[in-house]
Amino acid sequence: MRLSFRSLRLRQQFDLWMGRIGQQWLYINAVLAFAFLYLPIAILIVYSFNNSRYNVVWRGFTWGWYESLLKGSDGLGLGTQIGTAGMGGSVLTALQNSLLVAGISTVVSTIFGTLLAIAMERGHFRGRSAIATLIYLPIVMPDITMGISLLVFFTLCFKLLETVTGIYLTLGITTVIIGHITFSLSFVTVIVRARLADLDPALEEAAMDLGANEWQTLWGVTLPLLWPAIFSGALLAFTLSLDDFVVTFFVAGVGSTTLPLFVYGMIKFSVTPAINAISTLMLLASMGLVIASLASASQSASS
Amino acid sequence: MENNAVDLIDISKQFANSARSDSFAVENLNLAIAPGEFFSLLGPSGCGKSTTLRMIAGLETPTRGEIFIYGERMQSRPPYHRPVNMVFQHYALFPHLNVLENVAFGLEMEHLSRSQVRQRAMEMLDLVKLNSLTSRYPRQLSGGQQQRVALARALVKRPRVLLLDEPLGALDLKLRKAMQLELKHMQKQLGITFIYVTHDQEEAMTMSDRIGVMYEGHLLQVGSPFEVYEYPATRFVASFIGESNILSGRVVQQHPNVIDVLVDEHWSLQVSRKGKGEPIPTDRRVSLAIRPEKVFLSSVQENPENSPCPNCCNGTIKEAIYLGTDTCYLIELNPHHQIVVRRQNVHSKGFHAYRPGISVQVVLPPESLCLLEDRDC
Ligand SMILES: Nc1ncnc2c1ncn2[C@@H]1O[C@H](COP(=O)(O)OP(=O)(O)OP(=O)(O)O)[C@@H](O)[C@H]1O
Ligand SMILES: [Mg+2]
Repeated sequence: MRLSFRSLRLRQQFDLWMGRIGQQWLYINAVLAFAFLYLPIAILIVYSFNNSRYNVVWRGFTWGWYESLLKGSDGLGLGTQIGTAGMGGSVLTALQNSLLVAGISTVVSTIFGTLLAIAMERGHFRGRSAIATLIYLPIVMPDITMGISLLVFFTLCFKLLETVTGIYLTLGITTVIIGHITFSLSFVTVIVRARLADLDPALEEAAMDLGANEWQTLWGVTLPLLWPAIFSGALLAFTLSLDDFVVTFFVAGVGSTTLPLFVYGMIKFSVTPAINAISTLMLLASMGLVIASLASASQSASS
Repeated sequence: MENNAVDLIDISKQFANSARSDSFAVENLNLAIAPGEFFSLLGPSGCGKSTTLRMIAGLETPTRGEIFIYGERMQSRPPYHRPVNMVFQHYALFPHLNVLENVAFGLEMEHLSRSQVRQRAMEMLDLVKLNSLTSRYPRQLSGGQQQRVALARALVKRPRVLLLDEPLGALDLKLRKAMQLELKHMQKQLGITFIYVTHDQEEAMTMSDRIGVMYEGHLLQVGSPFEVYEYPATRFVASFIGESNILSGRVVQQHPNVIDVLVDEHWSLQVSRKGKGEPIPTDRRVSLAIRPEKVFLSSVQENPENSPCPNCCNGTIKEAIYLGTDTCYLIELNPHHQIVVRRQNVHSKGFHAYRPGISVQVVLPPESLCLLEDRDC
């Protein structure tokens, strides 16, 4: 669009006016975007305190849904209202499963992700750049693709194992853990590698110059400087694992229901504020972890 | 060779990833450094000083050539097994360790007892006057203090050769000057061989026993500050170290003590023959270099026309720049030639003795002219 102006003054007026409108629009846009993002979450949290089976009507404040979650299915009052889902005991099992999966997959992916990052940044071997590209793939790959491919892979492995050795395995907590490691690994690697790339190579050279061999340099200089990034990567891996639904959905078996799967199962029975309560708790946990991760990352960047 | 601290024998370095595959960061460099010497590598940015130093430290592998340290061959010996230590350009202090831990880092690699490590580290911190800051972290130190920590960290290893890569580059002028003297003093006191990289010719002149001037990967000249200044070997050395007026000409005649050089086909200059230098063939194109302070300057009137005066020339003052200790004159000899002349301001009121526009007589004493063969640099 091109406008012609007869006088400079008119042009200045126009620019001023457009500038003002622009400012207003930016502001409105920001407000709307935040409303769009956070209104559903706010409603979710508010209704988790609703003293009613149904989400739509507000019947007053209660902690009941949280209490019944913790107490289990034999809870009194509101607990019996949820009763149909028969959750109580199994929400704790699901939480346990989630923590177990998140814990193990985080530890494994952090260790291997860090080693991979160091190998990619400091090593000199063939195919380094190929690996560097491939490591991003799990990050951009749709979860569903990953879930399906893992499912196919596991089924194939189990088939092979059965025909060769006669041992019969099924999907379970182990496959969930392996699935989570595959996507967490990429995130840890990318985070640690970014920090490593920023690290002044002269620091490691100085260590070697002062008599530290490669191994001592790694322990004495490189890793201590990487800790914040490693920690940040680990927290992110933990969060991703706790939240994951799609991949878990494909590779979970009987007895390996994680919290997100459990919530999904509950919805099938009935949508009660108990779901809101669980979701609120998960939200708080994730937020806490992400904030810790960000804080750790920014600390590593500033030091 | 066992008598030398460091021997570099025909070393070259070509970086695998450099843009031009035929370009060398360092090429065919030969150098022998004596024990206890303060040796400076001096040259403009990118001439290969750091690369040379890093090859001695073992942080780069020479593409060709051999390095010996106190007679021991360093081929394929990792940095942590070489009897040298380095002070890095930007110090490279470990940010996660405090001052004491930084200094103790190298000692902890030597399997010393905890108390020995502490004692030696503290001694070294005393030497660099940092004993009150032992528990600070590098980011809590000033540039000068960081520099001292870097020095202490390297010296505490008791290296036989200390390598310093522009260690004073980040300091302000005053601190720089103070540290130059301090470093020099420390070097004499400890008797360690220093190899010092700098692009600051004044710094190199102040501190060094000998200077090696580098340019584009080549070592052009090695000599004492006096030799390098008074008898530069190439045009580049003449203009990089201090200031020089450079005139191009050709050799016309050779006498036992002097060589006649014709500048611009009409200005004949006599140059004293220096040392044993092999004879230069007649008609060879050469350059003449002369330092601004070595040119004589007088008013035309003072010098009667009739007195014979070799290497004399009349000129006009174009500019006079007052510089405090000196006044710098830009003098036009003819439309093609201008030379720079410096006069010390001896008399408090004499500094503008020659004003722009005045005609003067310029004398280039034969013994002050350096004859340089025209080479690439
Ligand atoms: N790792 C490297 N890869 C490729 N080329 C390099 C590498 N390191 C140095 N060079 C090149 O080698 C040449 C010499 O570099 P060097 O660092 O030795 O210069 P320098 O004399 O120390 O300069 P400065 O005074 O700026 O530090 C430069 O042209 C530089 O670009
Ligand atoms: Mg350098």
